[in-house]
Amino acid sequence: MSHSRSKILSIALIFCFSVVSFRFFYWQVIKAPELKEKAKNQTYKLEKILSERGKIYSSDNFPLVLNQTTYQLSLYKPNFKEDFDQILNKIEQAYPNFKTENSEPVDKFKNNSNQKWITFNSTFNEDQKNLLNIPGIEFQKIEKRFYPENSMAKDIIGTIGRDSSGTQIGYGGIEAFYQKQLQGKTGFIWGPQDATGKTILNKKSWSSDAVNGRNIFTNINRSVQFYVEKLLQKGINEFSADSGSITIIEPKTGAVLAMASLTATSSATPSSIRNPAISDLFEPGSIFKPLIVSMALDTKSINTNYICTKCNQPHVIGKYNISNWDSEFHADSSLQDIIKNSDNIGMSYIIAKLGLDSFLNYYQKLGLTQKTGIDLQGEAKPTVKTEWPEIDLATASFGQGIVVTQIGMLQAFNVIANDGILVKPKVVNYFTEDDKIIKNKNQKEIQVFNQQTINDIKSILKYSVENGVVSKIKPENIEVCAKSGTAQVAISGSYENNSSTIASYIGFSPCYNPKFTMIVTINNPKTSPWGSSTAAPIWYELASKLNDLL
Amino acid sequence: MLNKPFFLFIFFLIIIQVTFSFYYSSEIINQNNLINQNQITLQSFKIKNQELEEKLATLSSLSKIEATASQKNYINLREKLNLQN
Repeated sequence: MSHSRSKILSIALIFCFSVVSFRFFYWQVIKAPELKEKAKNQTYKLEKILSERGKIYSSDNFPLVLNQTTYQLSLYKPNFKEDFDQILNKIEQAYPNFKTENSEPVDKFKNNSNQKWITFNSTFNEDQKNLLNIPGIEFQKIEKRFYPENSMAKDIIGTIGRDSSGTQIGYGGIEAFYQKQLQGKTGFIWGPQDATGKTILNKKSWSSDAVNGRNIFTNINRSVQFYVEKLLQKGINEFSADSGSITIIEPKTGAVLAMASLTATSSATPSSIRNPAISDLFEPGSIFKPLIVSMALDTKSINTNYICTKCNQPHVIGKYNISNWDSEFHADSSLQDIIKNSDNIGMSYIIAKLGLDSFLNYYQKLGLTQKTGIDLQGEAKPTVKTEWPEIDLATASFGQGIVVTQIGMLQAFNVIANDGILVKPKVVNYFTEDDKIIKNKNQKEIQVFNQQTINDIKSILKYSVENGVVSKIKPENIEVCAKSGTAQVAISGSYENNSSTIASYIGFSPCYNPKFTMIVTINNPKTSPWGSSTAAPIWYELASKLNDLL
Repeated sequence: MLNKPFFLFIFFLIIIQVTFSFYYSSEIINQNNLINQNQITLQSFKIKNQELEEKLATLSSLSKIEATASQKNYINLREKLNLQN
């Protein structure tokens, strides 16, 4: 009996042992890979190493944009080890005026027992954060952009925001155009984590380093940009204008030395995403005339001895009469006088001699049919007519019925300054990555006008400045080749007598081997509609400064 | 008789293994703590550097110089001329 009992017990034990062994085999061998993976997922983690966004500098290596690390403070009531008022006093010691800045949310949080958690908008620096190592106080790190020159060059720089995944992304200007170069590459660490969640580095863990974004060194001359913004704001206010823009480039390289657009009501455009100097299209008016004369001289449609024998009366084209802005007629005007007097009638005869095909050929060569390709986000493409009746060609000779951006007009006019060669405007000079300098690629240069044409048009412009209406405001110590313009703003396709104007002045100095080419446009000036009375004084004031600064 | 040295050998082997594994794991923890500590120090230096860069840039900015300059004199732009076009 006892023998059979022990036998049963043995069989039962062997059976149990077999079952346990089978389960062990099942979990440790059959299910091993799956469990191993699950264990890894629980104990290993992938940690992101954020890269630092590149900084942006002016041409004198001064930082226009830096990165700033700040902290946002949160309070969590259940973790408090001391009285709320004591904690508040400690915060006040570290961050003076905290209570005043946050009086309303503080009172609400204090009196509402159901509210356990609050986050404040005030930002703390590293030292302030280190003073507040108190239970119940939490800090969240915030990476921001910092602008040492405040709103200076905002239109050029652009701004940053976050996309749906929380990654910093540029909007407008350099920040958006050079997003890839600025953002760098995020790094990763993969490895087991300890009880506190920190990654433990061992043989099985791996990592890839973060690569910081490239720093950008622009061509922006800080002093020039400073004066441009100051004088533009002053000009807009004095001439009771709605807004205005100024752009200055280096003639030989196309390097953008300064660019600003301001409105009457603020010291910066409403949004730094939109830059009117590159995104607003306007009719250039008389500042376009020197380009037409250059085209006509280059094709030998006219020569410098040209005399307008029909300028003693309006130029009649179909049902339209072309007259001058002052309703006066200049009989037997020379080419120099046509530019000096800004003679619309004379210009309409010159473009007729040039012909539509040649005009369109040069129009395209001057880059006016497309974007300039400036390295800023948001440039507008000019619209070009497909049909050109005779009257439209005539009005194009004095810059009406065609549209350009300010940067496009400056690029085209700079061809005269740069000995007939078109260069693309360029904001960024070079990048740095780990102390390695990477030059921004140069665009190819295009010869538009020959040297003789350039010599002729320069002497015409110089004569016009020295003998025209602006001669009274031109400082004696600077040589200037420039032209003023006043374009009426079309409303629903027609020009009303009382319509607003865009007053502009464009030119370079000195005439030979120039240091800069500059355009000033003033939108809807109310003290005087004319470019020579509004845009020109700002231009000359800046030109005097540039003479010292460049 | 032979069993005794054999068991002793096994016993010491186990002791060595346990000691080594303790030493090895504590070494990993120490090294990782050191890395964490250095990372925190590096981070705080980076932030300090950032703050100093900010201060230097703010103090030498043109807007700061303008705000602290005793005299700000801009030439009046408006010319009393009746210029046209």
